[in-house]
Amino acid sequence: MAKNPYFKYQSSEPALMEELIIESIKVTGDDYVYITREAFDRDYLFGEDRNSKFKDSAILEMYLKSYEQHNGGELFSRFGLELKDRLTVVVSKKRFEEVVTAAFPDIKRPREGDLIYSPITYEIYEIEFVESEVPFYQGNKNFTYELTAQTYQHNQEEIDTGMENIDSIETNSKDLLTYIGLTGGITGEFLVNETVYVGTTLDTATFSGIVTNWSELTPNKMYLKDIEGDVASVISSVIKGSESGAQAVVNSDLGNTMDYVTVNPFATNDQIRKESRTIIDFSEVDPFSEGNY
Amino acid sequence: MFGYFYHNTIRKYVVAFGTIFNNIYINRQNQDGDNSRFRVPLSYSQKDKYIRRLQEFPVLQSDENNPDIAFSYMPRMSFELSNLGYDASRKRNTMHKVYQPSANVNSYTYAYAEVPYNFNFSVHIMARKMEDGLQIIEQILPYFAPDFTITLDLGSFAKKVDIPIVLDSYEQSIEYEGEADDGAEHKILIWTLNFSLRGYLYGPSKNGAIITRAISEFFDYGNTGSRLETVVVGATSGTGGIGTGATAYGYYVEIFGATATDDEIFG
Repeated sequence: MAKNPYFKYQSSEPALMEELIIESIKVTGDDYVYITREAFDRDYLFGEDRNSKFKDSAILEMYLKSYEQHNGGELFSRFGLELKDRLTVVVSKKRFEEVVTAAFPDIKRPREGDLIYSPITYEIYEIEFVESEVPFYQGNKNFTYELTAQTYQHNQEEIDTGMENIDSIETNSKDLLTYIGLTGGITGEFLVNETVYVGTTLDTATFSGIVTNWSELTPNKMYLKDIEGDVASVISSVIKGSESGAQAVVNSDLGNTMDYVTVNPFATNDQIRKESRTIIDFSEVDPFSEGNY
Repeated sequence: MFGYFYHNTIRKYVVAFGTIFNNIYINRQNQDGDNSRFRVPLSYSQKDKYIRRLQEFPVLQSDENNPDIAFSYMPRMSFELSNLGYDASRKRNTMHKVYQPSANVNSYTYAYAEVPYNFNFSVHIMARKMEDGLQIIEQILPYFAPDFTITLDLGSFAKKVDIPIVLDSYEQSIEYEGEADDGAEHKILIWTLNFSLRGYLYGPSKNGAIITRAISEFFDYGNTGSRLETVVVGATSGTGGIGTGATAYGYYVEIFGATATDDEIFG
């Protein structure tokens, strides 16, 4: 038996359904920030973006489908506590085109790899999969996208959306290393991970930073992070180690490197290095190591 | 049976091993072609769960002031001591002793020969990008041919000990398959490098008395067998201790009941 010819979707009915869906999303959903990935360094061999930038964004209403809880959860692993929170949101196809595609014509649909920022959880998620056929052709047409997204894993991409609390992810996740020169006559040995300062006491210091790299093999160079103050203003001043008591004179501002340390509670690089100070005999240098471990 | 002693030796091996990998960077090029380098975070794997939880999530709920707490950072590295075993091929004579000075004038401190053990370590590298992982791997592998030797200060009995670290094996795990629409996770790349650190363990130290007097007795061998005389060679007390720059030790010899001082003997 063929389909009953007396029951057909009229052209106006899908449009009505679509408007009702949009309205219901606007009523029960929230405004999410859709952030596009700009892939400018694509590796076609390994099929990955060596570096990306998140800059363009648009605010779009979405309905949180996984309203009971995050799917996924947290996992204790050898790499620390991994977040695998996952959520599913529904967005209208029509509204996506009106808002996102209109602003960024190259983006025809939600893209895997783009980000969404939730105003409810204050978290950023990376879109893992875009489902375009759920619900399945109700009214002979699909009106929504269903986005499955997982907690964003920051991979040192540039984030420059202009929204301060989103952009802070990048700025808070790294700390530029500063490179200073020290003159001879250094007394004592500076410790990695100790605070060094210029001034009478640490509390009244005019300049301070945390040592990330210093070795008696190359005593005239020191890498610092968490700099407070201006290196140029303390040239020829005595810099002291807050724990070691070591002292030296700052003789040059070697400028910022392009090296960053990752600011992350997982990272204990400097603590490990500090403890090794009295264990590894750095005067015995392996010819292949360059004394840099 | 066993008295308490602890030299922190295994902890020192763990710290020394971790230090080798604490200064690895990945390079990124931005749109302008400028290069930046990021140090790869490193941590010991087997931490207590509540420490992890408190350290990595001091605030449980993100808010406008803490928008970035709920993120993972890539790439990351961790390492762990996974196993250890006795290495019979490096065994030395058990009765061999190592000595060190003692503050006590009439004694010295010693320990029996170090016991060779191989300590198995694993270094785990996790990355989202193949390129990042390869950068990390290539900064490690060329140094191990297959061993890399570091010199460690393991305490008073072992001030400078050369410890080879051997790269035993390499494993790669890349999870990229699976259904697309079941909320599949990101592609995850994990490399595991297995090393053996050829170290030693040291037993308890003991005190030994210094030999200050040697006695020789002479007998009439073949005739009456009676004792003819006793010869005593000794040292008069000094200051300091053996091996500590001791001074003012003297010598004396008793022969046939008569005693001679070191001046009389040696002039």
